Amino acid sequence: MGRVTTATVILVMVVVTALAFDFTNGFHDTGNAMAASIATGALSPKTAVTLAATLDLVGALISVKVALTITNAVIDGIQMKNGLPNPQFIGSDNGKQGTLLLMVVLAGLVGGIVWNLLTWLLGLPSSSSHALLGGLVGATIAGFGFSQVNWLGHSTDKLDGVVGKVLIPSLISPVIAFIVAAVGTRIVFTLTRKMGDKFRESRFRYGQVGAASMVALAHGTNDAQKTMGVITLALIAAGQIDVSQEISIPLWVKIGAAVAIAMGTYLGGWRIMRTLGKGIVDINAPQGFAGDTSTASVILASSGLGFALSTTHVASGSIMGAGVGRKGAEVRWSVAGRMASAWAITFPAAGLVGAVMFLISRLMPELIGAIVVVAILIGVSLYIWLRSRKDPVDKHSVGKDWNAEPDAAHVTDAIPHAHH
Amino acid sequence: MNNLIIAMDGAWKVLVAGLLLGAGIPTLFALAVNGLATAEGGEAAAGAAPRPVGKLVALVFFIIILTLVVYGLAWLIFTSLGFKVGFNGPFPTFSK
Repeated sequence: MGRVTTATVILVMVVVTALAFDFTNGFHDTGNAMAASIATGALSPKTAVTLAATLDLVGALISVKVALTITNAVIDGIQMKNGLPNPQFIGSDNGKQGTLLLMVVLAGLVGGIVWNLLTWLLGLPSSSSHALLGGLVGATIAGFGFSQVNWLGHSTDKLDGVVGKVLIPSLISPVIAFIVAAVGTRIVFTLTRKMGDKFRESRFRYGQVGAASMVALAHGTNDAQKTMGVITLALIAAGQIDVSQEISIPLWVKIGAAVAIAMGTYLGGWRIMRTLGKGIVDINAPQGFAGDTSTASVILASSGLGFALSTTHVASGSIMGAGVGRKGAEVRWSVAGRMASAWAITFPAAGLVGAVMFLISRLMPELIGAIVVVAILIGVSLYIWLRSRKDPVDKHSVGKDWNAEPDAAHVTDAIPHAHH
Repeated sequence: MNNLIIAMDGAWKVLVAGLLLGAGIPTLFALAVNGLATAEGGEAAAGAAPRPVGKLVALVFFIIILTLVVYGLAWLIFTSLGFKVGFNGPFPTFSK
């Protein structure tokens, strides 16, 4: 075994942090596939998370779509066109191989995780990929200035840059999903208007499970790839992968990322699922079916047309659409509004955390800086987790009537609720 | 604003494809469940007498839905595995 360098130690921390991010990505997104099925009683919470985790794992393992150029969409110059790190960032002088790039990635990941945990605490579905990209961009700005950010994109035929990859999709995807789900729901209720409620409810539950499974599988083929890309980038930067040959993602990275996201999914982000399934609008099985079918269709159509959308935004838009598609349904617009604000600030907020982390790490020698950043992450995570224990949401309370509990706006209140 | 043009161009395609599948499949499923309700009669079908032909109607629609789902699954799995998916008449083709 060779000498253990600073880069190697930092690399290990980056890999572990990346897997932790992947884990938060998993529980943040369980609700995209399963919130509706749990809300309508089509699946028990336990069965739902088991199914979602299994399909996520399968999806992550079968997918060979390599997200190796992950930073290129929003940052200029860290990676080259073929995904290799820019030599400027991995110079091996003074035994400091790759540490600059590693520190940017580490700070960016911490930004993504902190934002994912905070939105989870507030029960708000938000895009994990936007959080990751935001964190990376923030760290980049802190390190190399605003000019390094690819704001508008360079491509003439693909969506690119912060505007094309983050801003525009987050505005468009919920609208498309909303329309599709609303139309689908309206058609379903028109066609089945003479049917007995009980009969309709029970039969549509079967369809709903099928549609939800499709969403879970599609999620696995997409999201775990980003973590795989980040880890592989870090490995290259630390000189652990021979770049003279064609780069492929090491098997252990693939399995590690797939297992991390599946474990996160199995844990279940109950707070977020509660908002999605119960908070925005009350839905029954035909609505859940139309909503989940809309989510699956829009995601598959968009990835087929090379126009990738955020699963979270699509799933949230679908649930709202399914809500208003039935006459007399009441959408809680205040909850929807809070969710939309969370989407709007995800990218800059994660960016701010990423930037602060990077600046803190620069105040000290690199190895110490990395350790301090990871220590801060652990501290913040513990604090958020302890905060969440004050008003826990779990598989037993996820399906409770929304109004039976204090409004979710007060979830973070430190005052214990009398009627628990 | 290059991005905006590309986005609008992509968005309406996704909307059309999304509507075809995302509203089309619920339509087919509703028609299938309607068939089941007709076959069951009574409470399920506004007090009407059971008409067994509903089962046949349901079967036809379920087969169409299943075919679409199998296509969708095949597309998802094979593109994930790195294949190019095309069509030769009604049959999907897969090539590396």
